[in-house]
Amino acid sequence: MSVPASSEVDPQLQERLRSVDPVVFDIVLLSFASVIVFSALGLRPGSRLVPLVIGIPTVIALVAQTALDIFRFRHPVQEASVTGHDPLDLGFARLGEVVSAAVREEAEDTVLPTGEEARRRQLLFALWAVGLGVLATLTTFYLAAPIGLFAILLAVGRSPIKALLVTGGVLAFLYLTFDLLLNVPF
Amino acid sequence: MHRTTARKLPTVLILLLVFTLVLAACASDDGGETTTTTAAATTTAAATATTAGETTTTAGPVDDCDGYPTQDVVLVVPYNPGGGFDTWARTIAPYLETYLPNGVNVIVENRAGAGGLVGVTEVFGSDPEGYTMAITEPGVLVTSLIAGTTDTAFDELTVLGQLTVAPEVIVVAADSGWETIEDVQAAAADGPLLMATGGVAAVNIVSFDALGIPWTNVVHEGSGEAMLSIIRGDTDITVFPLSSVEENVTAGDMTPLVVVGTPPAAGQPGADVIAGVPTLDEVTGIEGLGSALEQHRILVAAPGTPSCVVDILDGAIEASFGDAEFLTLLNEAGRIPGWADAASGQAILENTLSALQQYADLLREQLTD
Amino acid sequence: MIDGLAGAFTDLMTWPSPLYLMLGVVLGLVVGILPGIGGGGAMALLIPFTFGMSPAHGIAFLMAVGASSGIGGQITSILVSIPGDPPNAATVIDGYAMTKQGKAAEALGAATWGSMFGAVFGMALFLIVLPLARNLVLAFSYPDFFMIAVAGLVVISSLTGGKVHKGLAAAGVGLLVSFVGLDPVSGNPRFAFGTLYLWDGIPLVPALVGLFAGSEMLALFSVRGSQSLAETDPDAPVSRMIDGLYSTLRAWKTVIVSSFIGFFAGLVPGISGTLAAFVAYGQAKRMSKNPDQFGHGAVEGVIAPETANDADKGGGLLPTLAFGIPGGVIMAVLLSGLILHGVPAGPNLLRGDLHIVYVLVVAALLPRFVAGGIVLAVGTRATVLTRMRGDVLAPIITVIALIGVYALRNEPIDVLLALVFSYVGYGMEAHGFSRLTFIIAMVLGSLIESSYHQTLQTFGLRGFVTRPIALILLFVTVATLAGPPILKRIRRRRLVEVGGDRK
Repeated sequence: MSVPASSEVDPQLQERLRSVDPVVFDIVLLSFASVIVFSALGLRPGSRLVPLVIGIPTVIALVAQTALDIFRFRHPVQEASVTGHDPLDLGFARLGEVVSAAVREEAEDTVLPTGEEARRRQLLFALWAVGLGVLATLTTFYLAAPIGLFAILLAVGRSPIKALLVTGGVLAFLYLTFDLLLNVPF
Repeated sequence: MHRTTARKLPTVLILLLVFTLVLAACASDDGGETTTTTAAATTTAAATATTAGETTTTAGPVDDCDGYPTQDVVLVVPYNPGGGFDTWARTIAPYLETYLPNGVNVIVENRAGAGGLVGVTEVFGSDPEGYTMAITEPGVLVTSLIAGTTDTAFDELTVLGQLTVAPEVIVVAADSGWETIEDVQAAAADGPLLMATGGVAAVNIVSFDALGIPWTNVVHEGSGEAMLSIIRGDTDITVFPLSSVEENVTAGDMTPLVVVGTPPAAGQPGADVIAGVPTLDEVTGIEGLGSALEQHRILVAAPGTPSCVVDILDGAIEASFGDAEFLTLLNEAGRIPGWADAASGQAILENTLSALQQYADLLREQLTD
Repeated sequence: MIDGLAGAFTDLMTWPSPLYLMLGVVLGLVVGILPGIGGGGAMALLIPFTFGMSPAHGIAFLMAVGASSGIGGQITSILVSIPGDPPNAATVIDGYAMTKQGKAAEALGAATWGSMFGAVFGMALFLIVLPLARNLVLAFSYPDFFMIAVAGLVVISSLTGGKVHKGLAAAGVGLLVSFVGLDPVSGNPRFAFGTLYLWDGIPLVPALVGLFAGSEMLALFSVRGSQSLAETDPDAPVSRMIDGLYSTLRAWKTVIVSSFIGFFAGLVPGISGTLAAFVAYGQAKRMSKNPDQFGHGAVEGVIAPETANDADKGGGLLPTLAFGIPGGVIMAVLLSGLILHGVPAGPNLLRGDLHIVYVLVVAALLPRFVAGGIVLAVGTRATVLTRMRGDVLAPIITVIALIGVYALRNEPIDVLLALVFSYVGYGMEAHGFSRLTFIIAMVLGSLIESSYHQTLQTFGLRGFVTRPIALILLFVTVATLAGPPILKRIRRRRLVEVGGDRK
């Protein structure tokens, strides 16, 4: 690949970055599966049987998937066809053929961000949700919920008055249902 | 650079000011009182922090029980809704409310998990101010302590009292052909019996060891499924609280063989069901073994709860058991009141610990990998 | 029997019973709408409330809460993709898809009608089967549980789609997640790494809420931020609740099959309503004339699970009343409620006075109709939510969902877990792993493993092939797996014979 001009770096870099996502996710799944398999090895024979029987093939499948996605990442020019390689020839595959059209549709349907703006919002929302969760865990929902709600409503451009009203309304609803009705402690 | 620092400075100062004010406010509540109880020390430190989920105010320590209780009390049920402990808690809660001073509420919370350990652990770690307590059973706590399945020193809990005590019963299917425990012991010579459990507890391990019966554990999702499997005939034998097996024995599906603990007095619910059945102590000749294994339901609070607080809670529990309405409710539900005060409750916990200590190896072997 | 039912009905209609019923219905609906906390939890919280009531009233009230919570749960599942209760998880898939297409009202209507039909069928089956209750419950044992679970896995195979390897990986990971928790052999915790939190395994509800709601809310916020949730074709006729009724009536075969599936799931204590919903979903897809629609707003994908999980309540009464052994949290609470009011549920109940049984049946059905009626009348108002801006709706829903998750067990780590699973759900959506497969595997895993070990311990290996029910299920499973490919081969061969060389 030729060295791109600075103005062309962004889209291509974005493209490559985006193809890292599958690899990252594969590795996340793979790590989990591997942890289970490794700790299963230390169990009594009866207890480790089923986890290993399921776990080892899963790890293998995920390793294969990771390798495939790394390959795609390194060679993004390659046309990533929907069925990258032959599905395993089991009974499933036949059924799979029948609904593969649906799968392709599904892949397109997945309304996940492709544009720049959408991706930024995605990051915003994700960070907000995590922050909310952490704040609520450390302090209390009574504090975290209104703060979080108000903050994000402002961030998306709603007027402070509206944001306040919505936050107040939601808070009242939460109080009525969870606190009065169900006596859930916060 | 300077501009931003200059802008940040006032904010930092203000934050510092607020922080010191808060600290000062909390500290002033201590008012220089000195006490010898460790309770005061821990509560002072904890007063400035909020423990998520339990106390909602940062009140100062209660070393002189000044006006205890000043806020709602939480009763933690370390099991899912609908079980025996849950029912007991929800039945007694309104009465505790009545008999605790200052008109505070008693709120029941479910915190299930780890066979009842999650809820108790939470209370164990809470502020010893008397605002959180749990309903639990000494057997579960002691077993975990001895086998080392968790790190919590459950024997340090403050016991507030016992609510009831009920025996467990070793049962087999009615059509198994076994009539007495001796029949079972004979059958066990051919090989280990299949025991249906909803999870292994001390009562299974210890009583069967004392009876000399080898067994294999067939684990089930819960006591209900375990009992069904006995009735179906898929497993051979099991041990469950009297209240759980009562119906099935009356219906003729199960035969009781041994009573672990003290049978209820004549006329009390369940008494006729196990009339004539020998107790574990009788069969094995080991005194007091049954009482260490049977099901005591006790109320506990965090270690180091001040004794004046304990007295108040103890008194409220005692008063509840003196309330005719409460007793009627219990009777209708087929529950037997078995109140014992805080000191007795503490003794029960200690007795269970010492009785089961000798089985430490056995427990550890079964309960850890 | 009819007099018994009529008697119970008049009992429940005499003042002040209707008041308690209404109260229970309203409370149940509200609780059902709130994500996280479910009918069972609410019922437990409200037991002390019933102390002052007579047994019949108290039971009726509790049943009303439990019954309506299921219907309330449908609303959030369909409108905002958050399962109100695990059994609603299957409804989320097509229900939310329909909402996005602007057909929320139809979906709600279909779900409500499906629930009501399912409840009626379930109760009818219950009454018919009642004399045989004991034998029926005792007929199912470990090998049968195992086969049922395996049948559930076969359902997964039909939902996996083209990327078989990814589907299998998703199933594998789902199964592994389910293995965390209590070891079915020793009863001790496994893969918990010393924590109390993981002792009982990874909790289903936070995982479910995170998995389904997480990526949907994310998408709602980021992609449809400035638009409303529902994308309506201005030329299409406005979806109405009554369309839901027509759809349900048209899908009568699905309704009946799903009811049976739900009833049997309730009957067998080890099988949860969640599993029933998924199996019904899979079966409906298999029986459908347009299976490709499933996952994209097929109304049968809404009807099937909701019918099943309401019929499940009917089946669930059998072990509860016949043996005093509850088949779920709602049943457990009901049981303790019964006991508290001096009604000894257990084997003797069915031999003695059946009056309370009839009260239970009517108390289970009546609130469903009332709740259903309320939803049908007022539900269209709720769909106004779908017209709110995505970037306002999403944060609100997220906050409520997280609080609901917390309220379930008062465990803050559950909230974090829900967030973790939101990422997992997002990742799965973005990279082609089937969340449905994952969730089914997660629900099934522990059942498969425990029933496998239980069978080995009690029957031995032969147990899998010597019991009638297990054998039937095995045959059905094999037929479902091998059937379509074999049929295809036969058809192809016929084509060749008829039309000469294909090339």
